[in-house]
Amino acid sequence: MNKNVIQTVFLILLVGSGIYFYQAYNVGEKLDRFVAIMGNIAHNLQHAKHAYEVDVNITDDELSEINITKISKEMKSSLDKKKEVAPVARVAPMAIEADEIREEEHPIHNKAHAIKAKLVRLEDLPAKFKPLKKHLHEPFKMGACQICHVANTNKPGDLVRKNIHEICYECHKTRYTKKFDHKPVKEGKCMDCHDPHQSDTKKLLKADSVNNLCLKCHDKKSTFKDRARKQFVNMKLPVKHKPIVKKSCLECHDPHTADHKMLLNLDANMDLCLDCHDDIKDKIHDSKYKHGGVNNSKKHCLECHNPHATKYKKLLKKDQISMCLTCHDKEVKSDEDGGMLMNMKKHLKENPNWHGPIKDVAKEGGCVACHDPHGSNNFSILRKSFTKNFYDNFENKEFFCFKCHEQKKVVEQYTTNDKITKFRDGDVNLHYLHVNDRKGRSCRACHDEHASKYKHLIRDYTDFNGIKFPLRFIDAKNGGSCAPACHKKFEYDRVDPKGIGR
Amino acid sequence: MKPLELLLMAAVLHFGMGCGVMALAEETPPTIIVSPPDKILVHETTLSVVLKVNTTQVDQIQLWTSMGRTTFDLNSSKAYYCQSISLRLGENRIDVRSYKDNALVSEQVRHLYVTSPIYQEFKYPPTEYQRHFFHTDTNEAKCQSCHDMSVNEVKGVAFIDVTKSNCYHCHHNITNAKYAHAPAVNWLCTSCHNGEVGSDNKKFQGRSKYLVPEPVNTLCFRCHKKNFKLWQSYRYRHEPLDSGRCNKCHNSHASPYKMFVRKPVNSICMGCHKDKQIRAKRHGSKCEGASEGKRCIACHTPHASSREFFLKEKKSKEHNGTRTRLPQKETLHE
Repeated sequence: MNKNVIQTVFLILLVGSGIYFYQAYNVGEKLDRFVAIMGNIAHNLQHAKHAYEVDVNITDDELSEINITKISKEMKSSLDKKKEVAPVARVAPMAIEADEIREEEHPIHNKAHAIKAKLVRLEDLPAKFKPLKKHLHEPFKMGACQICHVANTNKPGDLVRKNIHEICYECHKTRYTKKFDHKPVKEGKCMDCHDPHQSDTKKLLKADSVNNLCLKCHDKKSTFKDRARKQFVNMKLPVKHKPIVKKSCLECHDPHTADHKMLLNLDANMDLCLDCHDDIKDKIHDSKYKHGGVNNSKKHCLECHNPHATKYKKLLKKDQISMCLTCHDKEVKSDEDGGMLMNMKKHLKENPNWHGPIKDVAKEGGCVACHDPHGSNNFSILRKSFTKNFYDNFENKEFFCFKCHEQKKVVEQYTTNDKITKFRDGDVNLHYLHVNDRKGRSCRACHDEHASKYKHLIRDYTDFNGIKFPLRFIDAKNGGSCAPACHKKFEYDRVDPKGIGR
Repeated sequence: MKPLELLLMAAVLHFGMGCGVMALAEETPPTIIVSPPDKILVHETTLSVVLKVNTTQVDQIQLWTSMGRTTFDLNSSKAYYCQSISLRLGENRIDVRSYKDNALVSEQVRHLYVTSPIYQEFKYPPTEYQRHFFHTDTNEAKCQSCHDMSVNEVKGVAFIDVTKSNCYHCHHNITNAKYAHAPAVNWLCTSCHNGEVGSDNKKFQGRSKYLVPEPVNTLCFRCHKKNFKLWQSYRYRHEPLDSGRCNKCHNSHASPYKMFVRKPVNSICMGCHKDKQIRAKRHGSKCEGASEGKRCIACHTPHASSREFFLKEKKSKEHNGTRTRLPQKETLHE
């Protein structure tokens, strides 16, 4: 009994001290950060090209520990540097001379400035700034309010200049000179996105993350009247582009200025996408047969894909079949041989019996089960080799059809197994008869690989030397008959053999 | 009476009245042979005879040919009658006898000559026989009352139901043989009968809509491209192949023999190479083509070869493993 009590007390003490230490030293948070950092490092090692920035945020505690003397030292060193550069004229930022424009860099605050300004201690700040947030604007942190605000006035909020952006550009000497500017940048509305004092988000953003900041305007429900709402991104859809989820919009877009439309870092058509998707890059550029939809279209990748979010797999704009049929609803010129590709929409509409993959898209894969939409080394951008010839010897060739259909169908001369083939006269495998020979025929001689009016995808016409010959297939209970151009009308019957091929 | 029969009767009567008026207006012999004219040259062994009969004077027609007699009773409603007959090689005589109440009313005779390039004796027809082309505008106008004389063939697409072809109705006998050529039996007539002339039949230019350019090899090799390539690569080519007259040995429509040859293989060869036959008989050669293995083409190739005497290439495809596996199935692949 006594022993038990001691044990329990000891256990409670142990657990209690554990919790205390956990709380006191923020073990959970630290572990979290450690895992995140290690994860990023691991990712970077694997994908050197598409590296994540190793994000080590400085916590408030760490911030408080920062040595002010160290900062002043840095300031001094920067002051020395600054002497070399000609002093910037205090004019409206839009008129900054071209040779003074420089890349965005973290501005370093002039100590002279800070001293001259009446420093306000953080504790003495007005109540509305408290509690202090995670990230503070450096002048604000130094208490150098007078850099921006007018001192000794009745209205403490008054600014030294009328336009806010003029004040920003005073220190952030970046002039946006690329082809396209973000509208708020163009209009000088820095405050639309950034908070001049403090924020919980890096870069003093006015939202809790970059993405949410963007979506403030670029959302369907946004109250902004201008173009931003039109270029909305619906992030509620189930399939999202990974960079947006894992990182932010800024993976592709520049928030301020860019040389490409839509504020993109690279050309939207191909280069930007292929910068990350390099496995597809080789396919698109180097494959023998290319898909016109990718290579010869206006929007390239964006013809089919939505770069942000969609309802459909692979970020397609529509479901797969209708996506393909948006172009293939008419005769399209083939890039392969300049011939015309058939009107697939019409073909599928007219012929009710569809090939498995397109009949059951979810299970069998749809068009892309056989065709590679990005390009292939096989004709008709097929994923595996096939023959274009009417006659071809099937022996020792890996034809595409046999990926799903058993090869036994064509190599067993005699069989009574309905599972192997039903195209039999008694036990004579008529597939074998048609396919294995010097004059062995291709599957496509009799079967339409897309859709047909007849059972078993039997074609209505077979093309032989440019002439369409009807197969005249008639289905029967235990067999059927054909009367193509190749031979006269022959009947076959699985139960009561007619004696073909004997 | 069933309604269908009534309908037929009505149609027949109506039609007959129209024709009867036409017949009265002419007042010529009771039976006129519209086609064929006398002394013509024919290449096929079937022929259609077209008669225009005054049914008030004639109630039965008998067609006497060297192959037999065809009798048909007349139906007072029709003026034109067509009959397909068989002919033999060489000279033929068609005797058209018209009867009224079993009494001979008139008798007309036509002389024809069926020529064939593979028989020495029928190769060179007597000069009085001339080529004749049926499909002229005047002839077609006469047929139009019963037949649709237009071409209803869609270029490059075969008929699903061949009896729908306008050509089929009169020419269907041409594909009746055991082995029929796909374009013919699918009634893609105009793919060859395109009305053009070649270097060999320039003199007939414009005579018919359905002329075939001769030599015919350009037509054949449009489909049989592989053969053309293969044969061109050989050193020696057989004369008919070289002159482009594939139709010398092959019947492009149908034939009782494999590969649409006009006669059994050995007799085709012996048709021209008579000396070989004589020599074989004299010396008691066993190569007389009695069995499959003793056919001329067992050793010789009929088209082209790089070896002398048209001997087959050493590794001919006939002996390739793939062919020998199913020896009997060749019948399927004609």
